[in-house]
Amino acid sequence: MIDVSAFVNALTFNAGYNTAIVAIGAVLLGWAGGTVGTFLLLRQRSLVSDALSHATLPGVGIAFLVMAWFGGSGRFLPGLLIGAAISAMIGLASVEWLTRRTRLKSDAAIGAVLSSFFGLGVVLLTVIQSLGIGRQAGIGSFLLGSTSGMLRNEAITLAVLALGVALLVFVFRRQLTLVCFDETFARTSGIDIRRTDLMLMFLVMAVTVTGLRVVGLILVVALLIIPPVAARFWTDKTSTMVLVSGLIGAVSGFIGTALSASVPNFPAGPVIVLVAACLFVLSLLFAPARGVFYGLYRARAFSRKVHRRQGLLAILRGEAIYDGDTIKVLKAERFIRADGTPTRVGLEAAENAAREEALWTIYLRDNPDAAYRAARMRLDPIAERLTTGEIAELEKQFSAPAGVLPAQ
Amino acid sequence: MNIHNTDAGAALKVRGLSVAYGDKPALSSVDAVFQQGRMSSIVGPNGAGKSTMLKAAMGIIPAISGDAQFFGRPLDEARSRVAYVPQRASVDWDFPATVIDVVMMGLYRSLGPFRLIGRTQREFALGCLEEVDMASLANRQIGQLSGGQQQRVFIARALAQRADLLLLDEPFAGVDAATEKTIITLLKKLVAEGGTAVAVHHDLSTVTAYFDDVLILNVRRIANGPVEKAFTDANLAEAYGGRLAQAVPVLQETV
Repeated sequence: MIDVSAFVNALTFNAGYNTAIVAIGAVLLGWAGGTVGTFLLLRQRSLVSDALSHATLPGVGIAFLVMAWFGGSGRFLPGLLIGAAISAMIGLASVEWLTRRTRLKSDAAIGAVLSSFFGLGVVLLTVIQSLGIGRQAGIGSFLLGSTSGMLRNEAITLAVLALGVALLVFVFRRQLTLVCFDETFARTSGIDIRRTDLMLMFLVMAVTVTGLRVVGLILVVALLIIPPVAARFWTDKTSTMVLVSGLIGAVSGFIGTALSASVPNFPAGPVIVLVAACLFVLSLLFAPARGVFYGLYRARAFSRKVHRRQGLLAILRGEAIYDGDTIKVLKAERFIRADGTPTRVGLEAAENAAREEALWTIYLRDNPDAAYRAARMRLDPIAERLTTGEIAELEKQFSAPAGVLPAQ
Repeated sequence: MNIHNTDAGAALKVRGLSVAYGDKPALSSVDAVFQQGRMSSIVGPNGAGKSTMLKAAMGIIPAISGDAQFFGRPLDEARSRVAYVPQRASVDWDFPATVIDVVMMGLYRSLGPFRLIGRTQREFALGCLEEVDMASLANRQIGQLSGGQQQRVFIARALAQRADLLLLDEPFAGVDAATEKTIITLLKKLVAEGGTAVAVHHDLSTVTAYFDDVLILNVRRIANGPVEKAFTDANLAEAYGGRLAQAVPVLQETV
């Protein structure tokens, strides 16, 4: 079971030196992953990171063998990471080449490269473990990550990589945004698309390689995909999305390491990913911009607006209202009294509603292809949906002698 | 000085431009001149290579042969004087950006990576939106806009680039009548102030009213020059063949 005091200690960096080191490393990693992942998602290349992470494994194996060959410790972390980076680059180049030179779609190319490289990596690791050279114990932890026994030097390596990533994202944020949104326009403003994509892939590789040690190569891709997907529910601005995504990644790293420090046999890497997944589900359900519950609320609000508008038009036509929901809405807004007679406010609102209906009718006559969108928009105050110029134009047509009266 | 007879007056000059998609030719050795201070259109049937010509001139797609000169220079030396407005359908409008964010993109090139966006830039962008009557929707998510409003956002982004030459790919495709009027009025104003506009256009019935010059294209160049000289029935028949009869509808709008 969870040890609450240990959990609180871990959250407040009182659970010992090692846990604190791991927590800082995981926070920085989560932040870097969320930041870079945002652009990866917007570029619609999220899956490439999966191929990239799996392609690191042969590099780890070969780097280990080379270092052991020269008589060193095969577990020297920077050496292993360089090996991982080189083989990830080869994997990435293979995906690129397959999609460009053959008729394979990118998902097929990613699948082929991912499994081949991973297979090769597993074979190499098995061979290494049977050789018994270069202190190979723990080399398998690159598969699922391991934070136990993380050294100060390793945490510093993570910190440097995360800061480097943050700096590059800041410098290239505009270029990356432009390429993600509008490649054609980006090119005409003098941006080299290929170089920008390479830069993005380089950032992804930096995060992946950094994450190998903490969450392992199978799950590191989660840190690049889950935070931005969750962040997308909260905002409609790229700059905010980058920040929210980085925050979600960092919080996942923090809570994940604290949980794993306070529950026996909870592996840090998978727990970090699970925390991120929980944040994703929470965002999916509760986020204001696009969340499920907010969607339900909006559907309710829309039906209220329909009743409101129908009721107001009925008031103006002097018709009796029988629909219970309509009466409820009108009463709640004090448009009608308890006996059903309209109030002064109600009459004014009714006149305004009729005027906006008339303007929308003219708008739809001019823009028949907007019918679907307009059915939703016409219930909102017109000034929120159309520009001042557009409204002025409609009013001109409305008041013109030959103006068409709205269909009632 | 008659700018029409000197190359120095050309905002865009295309020489011997040939483009192919794989082994399918899209443009065959096209020569064309678009004069400064004029409104020019590129017309031709579907698949005639209208958009392709603009894209190849802007280096978006590679040309097999030929070159494009902007104000007498290669594109790289004149890039800041040229703004390109892509087809509205070419981007994902569900992208996380507001109207003003998109207009700001027109400033990225001059801002570079480090200068931050301040009040001056914001007000300038709002001014560009004002020109296309979109300022009141500046903070809307772009996916919520109508087709015409999206097109006007793209135009505002091009305005933010403060270019001397505007290249527009089908700016009137799928937009409402009010937007078309706003855009054409704005373009005419820019041209009257000395700017240059080149638009890919598909509605033959408005060519004479909207444009000064025309390039009639059907993989090869059919005609290029002032509308009154180049936009003739003979040239159109050559470009459109027997389909010309349907190209100009004679239906009266009576409701």
